[in-house]
Amino acid sequence: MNALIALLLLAPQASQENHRAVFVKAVDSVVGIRVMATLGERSGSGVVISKDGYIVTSYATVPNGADQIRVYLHGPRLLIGKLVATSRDHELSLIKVESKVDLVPIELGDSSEVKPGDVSYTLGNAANCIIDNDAASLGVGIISGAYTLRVAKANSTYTGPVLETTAAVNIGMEGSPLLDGKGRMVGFVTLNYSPSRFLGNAIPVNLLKPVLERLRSPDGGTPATLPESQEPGYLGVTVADKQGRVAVEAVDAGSPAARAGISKGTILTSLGGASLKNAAEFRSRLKDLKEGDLLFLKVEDEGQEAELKITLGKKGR
Amino acid sequence: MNRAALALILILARAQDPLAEEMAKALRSIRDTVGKSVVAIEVVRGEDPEGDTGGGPAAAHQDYYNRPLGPVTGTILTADGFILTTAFNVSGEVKRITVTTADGRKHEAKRLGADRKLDVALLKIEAKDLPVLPRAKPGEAKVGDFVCVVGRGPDISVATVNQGIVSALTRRGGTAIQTDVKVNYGNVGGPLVNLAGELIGITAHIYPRAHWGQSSGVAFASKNEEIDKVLEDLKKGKDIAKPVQGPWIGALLGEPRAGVEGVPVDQILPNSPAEEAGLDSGDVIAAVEGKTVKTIDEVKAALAKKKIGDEVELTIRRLKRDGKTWEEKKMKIKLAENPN
Amino acid sequence: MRKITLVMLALAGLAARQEGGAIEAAQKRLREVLARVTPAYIFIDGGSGVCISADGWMVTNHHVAGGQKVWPMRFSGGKEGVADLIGWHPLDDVAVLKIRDGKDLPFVPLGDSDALRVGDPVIAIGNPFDLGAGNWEPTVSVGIVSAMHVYLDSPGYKDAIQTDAAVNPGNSGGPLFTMKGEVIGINGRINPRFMNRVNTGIGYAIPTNQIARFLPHFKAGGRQWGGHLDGVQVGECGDDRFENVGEYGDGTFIHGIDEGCPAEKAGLKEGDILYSIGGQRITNNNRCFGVVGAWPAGSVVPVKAKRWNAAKKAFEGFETKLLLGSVEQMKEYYAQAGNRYYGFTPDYYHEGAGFKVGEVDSGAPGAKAGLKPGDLILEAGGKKLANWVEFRTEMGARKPGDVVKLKVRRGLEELEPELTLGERTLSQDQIGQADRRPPKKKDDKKKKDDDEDDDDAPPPPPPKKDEKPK
Repeated sequence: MNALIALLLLAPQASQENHRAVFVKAVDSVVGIRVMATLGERSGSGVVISKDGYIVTSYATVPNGADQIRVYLHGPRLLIGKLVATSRDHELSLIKVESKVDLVPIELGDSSEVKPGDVSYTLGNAANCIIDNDAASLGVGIISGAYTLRVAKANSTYTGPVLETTAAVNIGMEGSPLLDGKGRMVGFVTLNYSPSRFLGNAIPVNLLKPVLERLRSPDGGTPATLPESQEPGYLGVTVADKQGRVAVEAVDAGSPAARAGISKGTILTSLGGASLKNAAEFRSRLKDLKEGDLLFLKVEDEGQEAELKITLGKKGR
Repeated sequence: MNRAALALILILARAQDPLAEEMAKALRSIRDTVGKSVVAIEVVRGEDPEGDTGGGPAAAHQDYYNRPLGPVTGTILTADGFILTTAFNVSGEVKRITVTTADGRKHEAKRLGADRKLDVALLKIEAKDLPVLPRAKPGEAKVGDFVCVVGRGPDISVATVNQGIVSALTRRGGTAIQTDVKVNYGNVGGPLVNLAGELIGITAHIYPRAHWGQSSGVAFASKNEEIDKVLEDLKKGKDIAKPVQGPWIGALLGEPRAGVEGVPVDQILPNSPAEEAGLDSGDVIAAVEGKTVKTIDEVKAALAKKKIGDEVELTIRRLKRDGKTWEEKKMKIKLAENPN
Repeated sequence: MRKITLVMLALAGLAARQEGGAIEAAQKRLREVLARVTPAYIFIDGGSGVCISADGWMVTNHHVAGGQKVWPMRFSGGKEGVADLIGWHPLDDVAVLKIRDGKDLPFVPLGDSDALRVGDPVIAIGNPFDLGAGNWEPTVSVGIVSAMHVYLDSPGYKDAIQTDAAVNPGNSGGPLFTMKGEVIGINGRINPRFMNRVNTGIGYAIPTNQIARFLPHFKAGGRQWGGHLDGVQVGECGDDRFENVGEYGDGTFIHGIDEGCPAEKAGLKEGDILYSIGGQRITNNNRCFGVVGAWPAGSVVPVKAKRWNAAKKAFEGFETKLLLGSVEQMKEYYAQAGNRYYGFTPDYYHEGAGFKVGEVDSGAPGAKAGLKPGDLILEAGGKKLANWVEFRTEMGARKPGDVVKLKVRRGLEELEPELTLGERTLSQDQIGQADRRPPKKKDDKKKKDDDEDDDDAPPPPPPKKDEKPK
């Protein structure tokens, strides 16, 4: 019967077809990038996020001051890129290329839908395979975990939620996408290249969407560090003067301060390297900071001193 | 007829990758059920050179050689609180062991015995009615079987699950099964289970070279049956040593290569007698105490005759700067105790 | 109406069973293919190999077995044997051995590596960290094809398959299989991290189609050389120091060409852009050297090129056939088949049955037998010859001093000269030493080809940081 034959044709061999389908869908949106940076030549991966040529890559691949940005696309094609903006807290840089032909942007997925156990793909410039051979490298595995990194270790500047994957993440993959079973980007691979990380970590794409929107300024962009955020930075503490010191009276649950371990009674001694005279000074200096800014805060807790690095959030998040 | 068939085909076509979907469901189910028996272990140590990470790029490489900081994994053995983990996980100058069970509760744990041949250690916490994993039938697993490892950390409130296959059945003198599941410093000590969630063994035998980063794809699990054999001794607090390895110089040797007589040195471990003596990776050991050596076994045999603290003279060949000629050198190395 | 409902219910039931059994089906398929292929796996000196024929031809890496002439080996499970090194290609890192007294041995056929696609599941069988020593149980790992046609330097993995299946030192020389049980790659290199010689998710395998092209030459014996563009210097399209050389990705262009070299004889000129060689699309220099090197020296391959027409202000395409290798180099390489020496070379461009004589060395066995350039050798020792490669293979089975009866056609004459094989005087097939390059022409310009490695260096020192695994 025709239906039975059709049924048999649809029988499982499907996994390898799915790997293939993900590869074919995403390969035009993944690039290899080579630059000259102050510490020498670097190379890594990038993801096309708009057809007019915006490409996101890892800050480690294209840091501030990077020059001669060569972008290798599937084809192969070679385009020269310009650094538009960077966000060190998310370990990313945004570059722009000029192309006569529309580029193929990656389809963004929804990282909140990603669950451990789900199939997971990496696709990038492993060991310069895109730059040298026009052969983006596909790895397959699963999402092995979803959790929060609370401590930034050597070479990494990101703390916050991450997805963990068993798909191969290796040298050259910084700046590459983590793809779901339908070939949509659900994570951004930048963190693995710290020796202190144990498995492939990726920043969930939902956290990057607002950052990318902010970095793409409407006038086409000029190289900048962290463009102005409209949101005032949110820490989540209420402070008061206590015996000549700045003491924490209350901490908002789930706030950046709470996550950093600040609690009622913690003494704030210095902000950004400068000691704090009183609560009013702390409040006024905090007012000038924006969402995403990095705060270096020295605190005292039960006699113990500690230096905290906190990324300011947005109120209500 | 045709319309019905078409409708069915369309319904089936939506199940795009049935294997991946089925596997994802199976893995989540394993994580949830098996994860109940998987604990996080946080160890506080005294002066521990193995755990010092410092910070910054130079220290980053130090990470690689030393035990990374962070929680490790253990598996609940009995409902009243016996827990298995690896001997490596609780080695060093241990001051305090805190076990966090899946329900989030923290327990102080006592370290009982350890078997270094199996690389397992037994801990005890005060608890009751803890969930225990069902066991797989011994000898049932076959090469190529799908298996998983469940672990805890870096965020101990979250269980991680990795999947791979059985790579070989008889390793480590028959005490362990080999798998290509990614096992590393975070999840070692966790259970190796089949897709039915049955325990096959405890993941063990981490060593820096193979298990740093995403892991080399070569991992081991000490089998249930082997652990059973030593359980009573572990409960009594016995520390069962590894079979004698002999005095240690801290140099990883490679296979002799054609055209160069002697045993090449692949790697020098930091803080080792070899490092102190000035031995370099790339050097070739030509003789031990004047006696020519041609294989790794010969080097080991020559060293085994010595005692810890003895000074041994090695004759080595080192490639000169011109990359073409070799020079011979003699150096004295003071044998130490193998810290592993 | 009822019939349709019944059918729908039946099919839905079938569908439900299909969906529920995907893991079981995959598990079953994996077990079946492993049962079939594992017996053909070979343990050899801490590394790996695979048996590819019932009479005992086996393949491994040169860095595993290139160091001596005779090797003890064992099949998976422990059955012992002895294998002789027959042919080797140090720069490609391939060695072909023959197991003595091979009969009805477990083997896997070479598959079609060009049919592979990124995403295909693959199985690696090997002996990482020598874990299988003693109980002779190899290690099995699975992964996918991550990338193809990858070009690596030193040694030249010209057209490598990249995989994320776990391969480590000890997997070298071992097979990479498809789920159908065909061997499509020989694992040999990994990409290490921070001087750490273990797998990090990137393994490289030599594709079996490359090995298959060399196989008759391997069986003929001795050291093999890959093709190269003799007398030609190439640049990458898009290089803005040159005019009319297209855009990056178009191919490679000729920016220097020696008089009398094979490329000139093939009609190529300075400025020509090569965009297809041997049927493979050329996009950059790496791919060019990769494709050229993956053919045996002496191969004649189709080439597609385009030339700038200044008058029409456009590129014009054309096709030609190109000999890969230098005739001078081929003379010596060609004569080498173990220790047999005959002193004449083929006309590489001859098409059709037999071996057409190209050049004849004076005073050598061929000259003594009366052979002349242009002679067509149809038979040797009673065997009909399809091409010059078959002649080499035939001679490889003989010893110096052997007398071989030839059947030759010269114009309209049929002759039957006798060829007495001489002793080789060249030491190019010495085992265990670093490559000795065949003699160059006097004024050889520097070539951008990985055959130009430091061939005259002393034996390689023990590997440092990022060297290949065993």
